[in-house]
Amino acid sequence: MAPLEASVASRALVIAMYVLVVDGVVALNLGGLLGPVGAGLVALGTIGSVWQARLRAPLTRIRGGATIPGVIAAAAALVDVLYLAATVLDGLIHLLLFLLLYRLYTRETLRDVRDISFICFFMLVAAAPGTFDVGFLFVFIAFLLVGTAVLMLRHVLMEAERPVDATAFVAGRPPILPRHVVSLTVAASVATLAITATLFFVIPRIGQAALPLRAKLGRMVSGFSERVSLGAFGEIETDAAVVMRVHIPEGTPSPELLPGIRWRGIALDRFDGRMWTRDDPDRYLVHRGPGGSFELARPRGGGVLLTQEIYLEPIGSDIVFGAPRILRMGVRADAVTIDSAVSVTVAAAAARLRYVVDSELEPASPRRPSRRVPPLDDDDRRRYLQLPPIAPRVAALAREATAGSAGPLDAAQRLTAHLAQHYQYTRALERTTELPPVEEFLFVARSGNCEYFAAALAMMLRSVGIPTRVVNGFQRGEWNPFGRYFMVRLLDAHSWVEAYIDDFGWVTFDPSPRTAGPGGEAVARPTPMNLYLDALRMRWYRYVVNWSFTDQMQMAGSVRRATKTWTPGLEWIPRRPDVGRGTLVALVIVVAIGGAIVIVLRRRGTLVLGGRTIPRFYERALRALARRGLVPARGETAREFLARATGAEPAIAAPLATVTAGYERVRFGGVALSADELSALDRSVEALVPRRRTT
Amino acid sequence: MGSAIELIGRLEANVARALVGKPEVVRLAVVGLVARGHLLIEDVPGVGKTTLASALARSIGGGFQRIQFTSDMLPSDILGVSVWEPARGTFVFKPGPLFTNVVLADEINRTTPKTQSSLLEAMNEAQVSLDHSTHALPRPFMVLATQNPLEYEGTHPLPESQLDRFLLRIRVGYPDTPDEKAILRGDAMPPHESLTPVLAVDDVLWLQDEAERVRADESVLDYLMALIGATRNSPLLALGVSPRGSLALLRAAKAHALADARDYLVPDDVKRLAVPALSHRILVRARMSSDAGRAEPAGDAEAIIRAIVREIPVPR
Repeated sequence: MAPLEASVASRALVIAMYVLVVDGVVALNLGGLLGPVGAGLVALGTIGSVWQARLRAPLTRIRGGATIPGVIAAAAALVDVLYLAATVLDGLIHLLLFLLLYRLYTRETLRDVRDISFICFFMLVAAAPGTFDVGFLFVFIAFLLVGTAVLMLRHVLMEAERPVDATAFVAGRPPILPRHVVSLTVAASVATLAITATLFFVIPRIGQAALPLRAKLGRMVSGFSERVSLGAFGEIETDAAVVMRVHIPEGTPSPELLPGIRWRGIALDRFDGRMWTRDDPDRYLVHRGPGGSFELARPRGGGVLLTQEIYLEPIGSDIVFGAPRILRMGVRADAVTIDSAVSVTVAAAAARLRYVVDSELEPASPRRPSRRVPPLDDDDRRRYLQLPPIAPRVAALAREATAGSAGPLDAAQRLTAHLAQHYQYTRALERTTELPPVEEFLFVARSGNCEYFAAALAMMLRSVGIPTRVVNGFQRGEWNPFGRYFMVRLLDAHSWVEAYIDDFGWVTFDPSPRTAGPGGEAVARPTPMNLYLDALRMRWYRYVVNWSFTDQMQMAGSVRRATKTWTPGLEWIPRRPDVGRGTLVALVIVVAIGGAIVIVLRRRGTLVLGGRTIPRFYERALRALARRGLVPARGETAREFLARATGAEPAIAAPLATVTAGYERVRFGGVALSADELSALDRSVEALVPRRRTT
Repeated sequence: MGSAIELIGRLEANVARALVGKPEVVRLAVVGLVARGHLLIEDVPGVGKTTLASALARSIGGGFQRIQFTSDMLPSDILGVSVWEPARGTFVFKPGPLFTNVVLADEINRTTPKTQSSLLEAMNEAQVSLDHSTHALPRPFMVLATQNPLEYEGTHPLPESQLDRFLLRIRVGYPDTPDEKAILRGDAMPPHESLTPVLAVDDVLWLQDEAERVRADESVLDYLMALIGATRNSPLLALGVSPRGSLALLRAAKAHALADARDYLVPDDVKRLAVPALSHRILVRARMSSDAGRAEPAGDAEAIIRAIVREIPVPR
């Protein structure tokens, strides 16, 4: 095996190898298996290994200089895996990283480069189950490209029987790393990607789409639990992290223009002046409907029906979101529960949740009373009218704002408008007085965030006898036209009020001036580039991370439909009662695959015979001759083959005779050929390669 | 190395002057000589068996004896005899015609098994044991035997053990038409009696040593063993090739490599010599088919060896 010389190809190989190492470390970092400190240490060690040649020389002089550290490391790794590491996986990662560094420092031959590439591959494999990030896609593609390049460069170096030294390069011989290697690398990578992608999409998936081997628990977001203090959203309202993506399937034209879209989460009814809780903590199991989805409510009529496909990041709560009112829900989960305030929860793994929701949107005004709305019973009415001890001036303000209204609906609308017009929206929530928070908001600060608006509206409506509840959820979010989805970020967390109006049912009222228009937003809108990247991320979740058996069935169905209309050419095949056309096609495919296997095996059989290595130039010559249709038979010696080939194609007589003689000397005479002889042989082998006819 | 080629070339050219148009046969005869072997030349009468043998014998310096085997011949006729010498009062050994460098044993299957087997020890050990004393034969020592396959009347076929002692069995075959015409015209064909030696005895010994030193790659040895193993496992054969046979094949192949100007073996050497070196060492199983009576065992054996050679994969 040729030592790594300072040649063009081997330098490129070393560079590519280091790119692989970086790629593997990034993958581990993405997969959450290697923290920034660890990654930094590995990076330092990797950088140090660039000068490993100087270190290795004295090391090899010491007896056992390389084996003793190896034995110690093996023992340490065992202890690490068994006792020290947090999990077995972590221990194995430590071992892998140690092996990587060890190999980097002791590398000497092409075999070592191959080993390092394999270690990097294992790093990717280890990281794969732990990450859902789209960044892994780029890491993977980078690995594919560079890994292919490493394989090809290694092959080139192995094929070159003499060390390709820099002097040959300077002397004007063609460099060994022309654009061909790059273009071949890209082509091979693209082909590999195509084949693996096909396999990925076609091989049947079982169970959960993604393995929740080490799913990171997302941040614990306050505001969506059963106890929410006023001001809980304050901390997250500046966080631009995407929390959910709501994909609107084709069929709904321009969903971004639909008015008043919001994503309802949890509804709370009991307020003690500082904290919202639920009065009735009971939850009810929802049964699956005949279609396999969970039926949550009956349509009321009059609203737009909207189907949403939602990807919810883990937020530390099992509340799920959807446009109000949710009619039915399709989710891969054992149980869906609902409470009296129509908050839906799904007990799911901590990983990202994907579900489909059908909603009937609230009809825009003008509203018409409906007889189909069930009346609120007394218990519920009492719950939704509960009030903490409040100052009389709060109730007085409510009466003042609703004076002269035509009915409860009008009253609620007036009070909402009053709050929206006379109070400022702010994220600065410092307390300045000892008053109860709502009172301070209404009469002192006159500014607050959505939670204060919602709490104030809910309390004031209750004080005038209208049942209310506070709803925590998200605003519509940013419409992403690249992926047809709403991109909802944490800063979109929102609080609003639902009021029960007789004959109308629960109606949404949002007093926050924040929703009045995008002009009130202080946070920069995402750039088209960000939108595009996020759309890519969405597709990654949808079609790779969440690729499921159902998707495959759907794809198979559509492929079958497509082929039915697409291949009328099969009509001529006579239909027999026992042999369907499908069987015939399958038979053809089987025969084709079998033929391919036979060809591959036969090709191997002729090349591998004899066991020991054939000189490379003779292998190349045999390949070139095989392209001319000349393949040596089993019992045919090189000379007999030469005679036969010469008879078939007299033009190749001289070069093949040279190659055969050289082959015999190297193979059986044990002669080491000189550089001149080898280049003469190279030229002869070149002469054997069939040229394309120019005429 | 260079001089080995030159010597062999000179020898082959000289022999070829007597045996026109048969370079392959000449090459095999020379290989037998260089490999320290004995040759069995078998063919129909009149194709030049004796010519080949005597031309080879006359081309090298050293002694040459021709023994015409007949059915009434006794072992002492070829080995020699102890006679009473009254002057010294002892028996004195009078060496027979075998005590020379090259022996042409013409029509060896005409004599009795008793006489044939007296050749056995001489061929194998290069020595003669007689009356409690052993007499070494000169070096080099080579037996060139000829026999007629078709004349069964009054012949004693050579026993297996004795056939095994011949390195190669050569068939001469009819010459091509142009060559035969040249023979008829008498062109360029001196009587083999007039050939002069072109090699000294020492040259022959040196060539034999050189042949021993030819390099045999492990893969070629594996190939050779695969051929031998195939003869032992073939369902068509009652008797495969003995270790002596495999050794003979290797020695012959090495000499062939030397004659081909190489100091290493290639599979071609083994392949080329498989038939002449092996086909007389095997026994073809009696065939069950209708043509069982057709007696041509030699042809069968060669065909089987050829088939084996065709089948066994060559090392690459």
